[in-house]
Amino acid sequence: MEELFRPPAANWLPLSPSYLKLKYLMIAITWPIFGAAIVVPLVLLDISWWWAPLAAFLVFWLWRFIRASRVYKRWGYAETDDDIYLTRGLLWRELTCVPYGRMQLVNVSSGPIERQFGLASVELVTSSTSGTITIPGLARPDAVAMRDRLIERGELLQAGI
Amino acid sequence: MAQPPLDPPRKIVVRRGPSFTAPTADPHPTHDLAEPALDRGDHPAVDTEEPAVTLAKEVERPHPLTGIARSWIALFGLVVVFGRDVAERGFASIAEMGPFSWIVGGLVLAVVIFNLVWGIIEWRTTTFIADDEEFRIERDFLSRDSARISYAKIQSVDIERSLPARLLGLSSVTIDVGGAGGKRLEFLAKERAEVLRDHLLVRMRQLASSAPLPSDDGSPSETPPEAQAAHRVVSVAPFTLVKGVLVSSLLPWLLGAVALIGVSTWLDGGFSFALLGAAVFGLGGYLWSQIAGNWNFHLDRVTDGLHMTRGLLTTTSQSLKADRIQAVSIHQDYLQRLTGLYRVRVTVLGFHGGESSGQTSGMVLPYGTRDDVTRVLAAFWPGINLDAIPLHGQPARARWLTPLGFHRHLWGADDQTVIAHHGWLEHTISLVPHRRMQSIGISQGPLQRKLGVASVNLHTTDGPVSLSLYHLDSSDARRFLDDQRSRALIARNDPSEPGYLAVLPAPLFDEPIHPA
Repeated sequence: MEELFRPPAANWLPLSPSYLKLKYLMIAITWPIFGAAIVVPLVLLDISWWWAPLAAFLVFWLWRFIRASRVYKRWGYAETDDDIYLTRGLLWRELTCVPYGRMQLVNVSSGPIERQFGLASVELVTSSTSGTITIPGLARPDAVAMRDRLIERGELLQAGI
Repeated sequence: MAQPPLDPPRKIVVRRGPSFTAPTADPHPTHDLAEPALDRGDHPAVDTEEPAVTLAKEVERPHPLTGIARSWIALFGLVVVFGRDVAERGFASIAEMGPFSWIVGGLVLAVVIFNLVWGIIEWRTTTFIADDEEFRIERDFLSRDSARISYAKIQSVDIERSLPARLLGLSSVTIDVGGAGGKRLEFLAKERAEVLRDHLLVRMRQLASSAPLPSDDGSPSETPPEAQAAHRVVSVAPFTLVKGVLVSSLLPWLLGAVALIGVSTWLDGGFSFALLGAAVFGLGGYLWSQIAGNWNFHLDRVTDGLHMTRGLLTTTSQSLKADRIQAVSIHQDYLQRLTGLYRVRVTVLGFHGGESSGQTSGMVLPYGTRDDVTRVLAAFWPGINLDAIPLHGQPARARWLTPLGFHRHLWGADDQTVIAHHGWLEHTISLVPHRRMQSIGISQGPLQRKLGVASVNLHTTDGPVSLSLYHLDSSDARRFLDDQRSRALIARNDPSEPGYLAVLPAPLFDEPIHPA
């Protein structure tokens, strides 16, 4: 990764590989619904060029799959002595650094689909909405351990607001 | 009734909780909401005589009657819709009602059942743990959420009891952690809620007292600000205020309205009262709120903070503690550059949730000269000198992204504060002290990447001020992030600065004083 988004420690820790599988599944399920919503009416209306949107959709769909793995690789987090860092984004890239002492609340949540993959998201809430970050796609036990680690570290550093 | 305070000599602060869910209810709401808040400022000593509230490590649930308390409002509506007729004319009247009443009644009944079911689900799926180690609220329904709240961050714990909750002996507990992430537990038995609140406050104080306390901070006085020796910082003269309001971005609208009325009078050959009325309503209302709302504005420095008074018909009096101010923005819109007037706003902890409207919230100087701005800043951040902070510009290639405002995007930092200037026609200066920074981020879009620039965003408590440094050279941006991170760390741990918890949640008084 380039200099601007270099890790604060040795390297960025990746999200769970199951998270990429979950993303693939979501792409496989959701995009055909949109595709069908465009192509099916054309077929029903007996429009001769219905295959053109279908082909465009298939290309787009394939591109989403390829892109998903690239986006996945851009995710990374790192815990240092005083802060947690998160980097993400392929086109719009971000790096956020949140001091442990600023965390008010750490939320671990798993939606119904995440649960099937044994995944959880860790949301770190500070008193600033724009500084609130979410690390998705961690294995549930890792996420819970991270939550407890962060809160305990935060209570120790305890920086007030 | 009011709870006895945990520790009698402490100041008792009556917090007015969020609005009641059942507005029909309670003639004396504040009595039940009275709760001890803790003022650590006058108590630097470690508390050893705390009443020990110990709880076995156990997983608890909300009260089983949660569903009934939840469905109360709709149930009440149902009673109102049908009850009156039934009371007046007996049950036969229901049969005579038209289909519309049936539809309304059915909908309300559906809401009752929905709330009841939802409440039961909530009761069955929510658990919480509050022991010496941790405070955690978990919900395991379709998704599985588990929120752990840092004891050190708890600002206040409110117990609220709406009428239905009172009848059922229930209370809801709202845990405020300041800023974004509050949590609410609905509903607990009254006694459990009180024990939980005491436990949370005790844990909060234990953590706070183990933190390094400032050795010598001026002990905040308990007397109300009015009684203290006040020192006038700034007052806004009526002429300045009127000039400030008129010569602002409002002026084009004002001139436009006058021109429109003139043109329509000339074309129609008759004066249009409808047009005049619309103009008076639209612009006059705004003008009036600005002028009357900020009339006779003055800002005083009192022992431990600032005290503001303003208003023509309704005098509003606000005090804010200097250490609750998180960030400052100094703003001048394009026409105000002619008058040389500025407005100063601050982000204050606990301010945005108050009753103050968006327009006036956090305004500590409605209109003032550059000198006024300097005096206001010095009142809460003594020693700050804006001109002494070295400023940097954007790299030349950022001109592609900000062709007009290029020269006016400036940024800088000294050992206490980060500063950013923005605006082409307008001019905004944002300031965040290092020890008030929450977190920091870098963002880079595709065009910025092509140009090798990136933006840095400083995150502070939510409020009217935001601070971003746009389009820095990529390596500067990353260096700034790393440096700023350590500057903020040093500032937070500096024992000579009173930490936030050392001078505890003084609520902001926001009380209109109506002249007799």
